[in-house]
Order: sequence, then C-alpha cells, then structure tokens
Amino acid sequence: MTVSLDTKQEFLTGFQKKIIIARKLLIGANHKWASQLLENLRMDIEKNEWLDIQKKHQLLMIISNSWWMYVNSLVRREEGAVKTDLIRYIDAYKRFFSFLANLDDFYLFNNFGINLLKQFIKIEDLSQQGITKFINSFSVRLFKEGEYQKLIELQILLMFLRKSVAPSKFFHASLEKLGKTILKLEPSKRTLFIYMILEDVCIKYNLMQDSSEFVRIINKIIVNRLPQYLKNEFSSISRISINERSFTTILGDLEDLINYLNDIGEYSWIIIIIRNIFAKMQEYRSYYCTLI
Amino acid sequence: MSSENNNQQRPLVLDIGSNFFRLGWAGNDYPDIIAPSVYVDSNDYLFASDVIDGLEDIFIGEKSAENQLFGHEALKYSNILRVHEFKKENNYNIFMKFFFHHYRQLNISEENQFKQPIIVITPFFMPELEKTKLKDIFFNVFDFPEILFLSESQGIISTFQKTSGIIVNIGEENTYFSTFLHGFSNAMARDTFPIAGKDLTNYLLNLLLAQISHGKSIFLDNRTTKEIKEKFSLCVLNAEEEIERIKNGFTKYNSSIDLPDGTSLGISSERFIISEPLFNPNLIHIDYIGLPEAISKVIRVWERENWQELLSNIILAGGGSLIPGLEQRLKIEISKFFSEKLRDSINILAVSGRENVSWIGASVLWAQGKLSKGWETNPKSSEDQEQEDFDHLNN
Repeated sequence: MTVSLDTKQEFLTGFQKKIIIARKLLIGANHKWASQLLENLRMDIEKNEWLDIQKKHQLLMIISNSWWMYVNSLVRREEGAVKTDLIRYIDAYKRFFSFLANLDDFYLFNNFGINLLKQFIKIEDLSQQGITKFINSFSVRLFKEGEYQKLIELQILLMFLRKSVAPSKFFHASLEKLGKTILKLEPSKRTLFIYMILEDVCIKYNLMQDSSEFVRIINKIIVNRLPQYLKNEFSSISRISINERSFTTILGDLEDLINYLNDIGEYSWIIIIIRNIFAKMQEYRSYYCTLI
Repeated sequence: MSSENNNQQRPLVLDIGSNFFRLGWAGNDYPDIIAPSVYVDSNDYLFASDVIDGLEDIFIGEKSAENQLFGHEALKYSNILRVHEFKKENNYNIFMKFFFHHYRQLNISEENQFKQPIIVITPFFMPELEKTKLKDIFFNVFDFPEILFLSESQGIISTFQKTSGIIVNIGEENTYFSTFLHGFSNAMARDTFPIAGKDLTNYLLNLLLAQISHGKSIFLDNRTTKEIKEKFSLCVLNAEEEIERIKNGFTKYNSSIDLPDGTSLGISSERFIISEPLFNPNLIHIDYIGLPEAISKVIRVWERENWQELLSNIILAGGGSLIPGLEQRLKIEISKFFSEKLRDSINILAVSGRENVSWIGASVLWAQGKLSKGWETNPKSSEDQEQEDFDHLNN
C-alpha cells in the first residue's frame, strides 16, 4: 500500500506528541488515561496497513520503553534506602504486562517478566502466595505459547522459592513434557539431562552458590510428587557429582548428550547444556576449554 | 501555654458532607480542614489484570491488607485505585479512620487529645440511627466529652444574621429546603428535592457522550465530567431560546475542553442544558415538580402574610448551587408562582463560598454564645465524675 509522505509524517508526528503526553500522564500518576492513550496508540500502529513490520516494531518498542522507564523511575534511592511508591509500581506493572500481552511479540513479554522475577528472588521475606500467583499467571502465557522449557524452568524456580510443590496444571504439564523428552533419550543420559535442567535454573536465576546443593534441594522437594515415569531418573540424581576433578569426564558425556539431542531433533535443550558447560568452565577456570 | 490550652479545648465543628468533609475550631472564620469525603484502599485497583497476578501480595504483603488513604491523599491515586465515598456507602468504620486521620492534622497537644466538645452539623433528615452511630464513635471510640447535633439550616441562617428565610441547599448527594420564620422552623415547611449534584453530573456525561461522533475516540469518566461541570456549567434564563440562537450561529457558549490525553472536546449548549433538570426533572426521567415550584410549595405552607418575608430571604447554599446564573433563573421562575405584589420582594442570596456556609454558621453561633443548649454528655465522663464525687465524699 502506498501513501503520501505527508500522511506518514503526520502519523509519526502525532505518535511522538501522544507519547510525550502519555509520559507526562504517567509521571502525574494518571495511569488510567496514560494506558488508555498508549493502548489506542498500539491499536493505531497495528491496524495501520502502510507501516512496515520493522517500523511497527520500532514504534511498539517506544511504547514499551515508556512504560519501562516509568516503572524504573518509581524506584528511588534516597539516603541509601530504596523508596518505591508501591501503589503506582504495582499498577504500572499490571498495565505494562497487559500491554505486552497484547503484542504479537512474546519475546518482550517474556524478557520483562523474567526481569521482574529476578527482582523478586532478591526479596528476603517473599510472600509464597504472591510468588505462586505470579509464576502461575506467567505460566498461563507460556503454556499458551507452547514454551514448555520456560514453563519447566519456572515451575522448578517456584518449587525452590516455596520450598514445596505447588500442584497446578502447569506443574503437571511441565513434568509431562520433561517425561516425554526423557523417553527419547538413551537411559544412561537421562539422569544427567535432568541434572543439567535443574542446575540451569540455579545458574540462570543466580539462586545459590553451590548449584549441586540446589539440585539436591529440588530433588528432595519433588521426590514425593513425581509421576512413575520420572521416579527412576530422579532417584539417580544424587549419584551425579560434578566438581573440578570429575568435570573432564562428565564433559565427554555432555558432548554425547548434545550430539544425541541434535540427532533426535530436540535442539532447543542444547543451549541449556551449553550454558551449563560454559558456567562450569568459568567456575573451574578452564579458559582453555572454553576457547575450544 | 494556657491560652494555647484554652484554644485547644474549644469545640470542633464537623460537617460530614457527601462531597467534602469540613473540620475546624469553633470561632474560626473558615474550616481548618476541607477534604474530599473519599478514601481509597491500596488493594482495590481500578485496573484488574488478567495477565499477571500476585504483585500486591509480593510487595505489600498480607499484613497490610487494610491500608487506606483518605481525602486529598486518596485523590492522588484516583486514576489508579477505586475511589470510595464513605458517606454514600454509610461506612462508619472508614469514617472513624477518616476523622482520626484529619483530627491528627489539627496538631492538638497530647494532653488535649479528645478533650474538645464536638458540634456535628446535620441535615434535618438525618435519621436517629445515624446520630446514635456518631455518638457511639465520638463517645466510645474517641472519648470526646460532649456532642451537639446542630441543624445545618440553623447554621446557615445564622451566617446571614437572619431569623426568617428559606434555605435551598443543593449538595452533591441531597437537595433540600428548610424554612425559618422569626427563628422558628416548621416540620411541614421543609422538604427534599430529588435532584442533586451527582444527578447533574450524570446528565452532563450523557449529554457529552451523545454528542461525541462515531469513530472519534474520546474517553470520559464521572470524575472528569464532574470537573467539567464545575468549570463550565451555566444556567440561562431561557434554554430553548439560547439553543435556537446557537443554531443560528451564536458562539458565546462554545468552549473547548482539553482532556488529559491531549484530545479536546467541544462543548456548547451542554453548558446550560445541564442545569435544566433542576427546572424540569422529567429530562432525567424523574417524575417530580421543578425546583422553583418545590420552593414555592414549601413557602406556601406558612400563612400568606409571611410569604413576603420568606421570599425576600431565599438563601442558596451547598456546592451544587455554584452554577453561575442559577440565582437569576430561580428568581424569575419562582416569581411565576406568586402574585405580582410579591414578585418584587423576591430576593435570592447567593454569597461566594456558600459551599462552606453551614460550617461557618455553626462557628459563628458558637462564637456568639448561642449554642449552650442541646449538648449531650459522654455517659462515660459523667460516670467518672460520679465516681470522683463518691471518692471525694468518702475521703
């Protein structure tokens, strides 16, 4: 569709003006009007036929940045203490995520969600009820998008934060997915694979210094809730011990696992294992291996 | 120190309006605290997200589940949290907290806390049950020594230093008339009127929404409409004539409202049509007589020879009466119900600041020493006194 340059210019100038107004409204705590305005802008962009995908993405990024900048501005450091207007902060996040959920781009939603989740992990007396609600509401979206790896990851994280299992359809779905993948692997690699998945959560969210301890804790929490098809694999986890000395041996097994996953078409898990190997290499200062 | 002590033991005048809460020391010219009668609950968000959940629990926690903000502080969050009006909700629990929150703002010294008598301004239709609840709060919860329920009309009429007249109080939630003749009132000569400020706001919202053309995206809510009403409303002598003039190109009433989101909304005849339901309640589907006729009916309850005296003192009060031009229109409309002889004597008093006139009246009455009767004493303090007397006798 071809449109005149003036029309394009007019649209972009209008967009810019509205963004400025929306940012002013946000600063003035007028969330209701600001989100209405930003939502209208999003719809204008999405229904626009002559904007190319790249430009649309760029404009949508400007809107999400407006929210992101505002949310961050609400956290103020005064005399060494962090002061946050929680009412504004919570509402802004809710509206921001609602905006992100309406976008086709799941990447943005996921990124901001994980970012927020990482902030929660630092809270000392974290509300169990709150974090369960949060992770499960986030899981709804992951489930819908078919992002099962992230779903498994979040359910493991939730278990660790709650120190118990929160039985939900997401918990069962994540175990089911894990079970299906494991069945594709040769039996000798299954436990190592599970170990890597669990350990990755610890590394990614920086939960504990000793990741093997993390695996042990999760194993203890989940042991009575495991379905039959996963019981054997989880029961052997305690036999795995990765340290500086055993790492070289295990590295060989991991390389085999990577190749195996590649052969059976389960590529998406490979990155998790590589990330773990990389973390281990850094930990054991095997820079030489890292380079190789 | 002693004069400060005396000052802080003066009675407090309290006016619990649907729109505004007024609190201050008797004898002062103006209420010390005027706050919107609203509160917000920090867990009651306007926006309900179906995308993420649990943030309130994580940040605020379950301990502070009841965390309210009151008055002006509440309004800061009016675009985030649901604004509640405790008066309309009859929520005495919140009223108690609201009162205490503002009472603390009076900076009363520790030794004078809750030592003041309280004058509560009440409309004539306030039920006994409500008075009992207020007494319970002020006596049992706060332990104030005395309370006086003062009729709002009495306060208003004393501000004008009149003994006869009719008070037309147009509030946010209620409109009522009350008449006085030589200082006496008559239970028959007072009435309520079914249209108040909130009805006019709703009517304006409907008018504005109706004129927004299709395809134009304009977002309006009750609170914004109320602000528009307060800024732009008018009352004209003949609305139909003015509408005709507008159709012929008259632009005097044209105004542009800049909405928070940068859009603007044109407004013209709506500015004066908004006050028409007061004269013709059928416009908002209320089957009732107009305000002027209702006023005249209340006057007619008195003997004919008193009408002139009452007509010459029609006092407008309440925030809803602030519509410019209302007094002129009322004068003309009321005159239609009386003989030519009486028409000249019609006088409408509409002073500026009339939204606070009942509070000021109560304050003036106390300063003049006219509030010595009708006080109710806290039963607890009389019991204490008896106990003290008993102890004294025994000693």
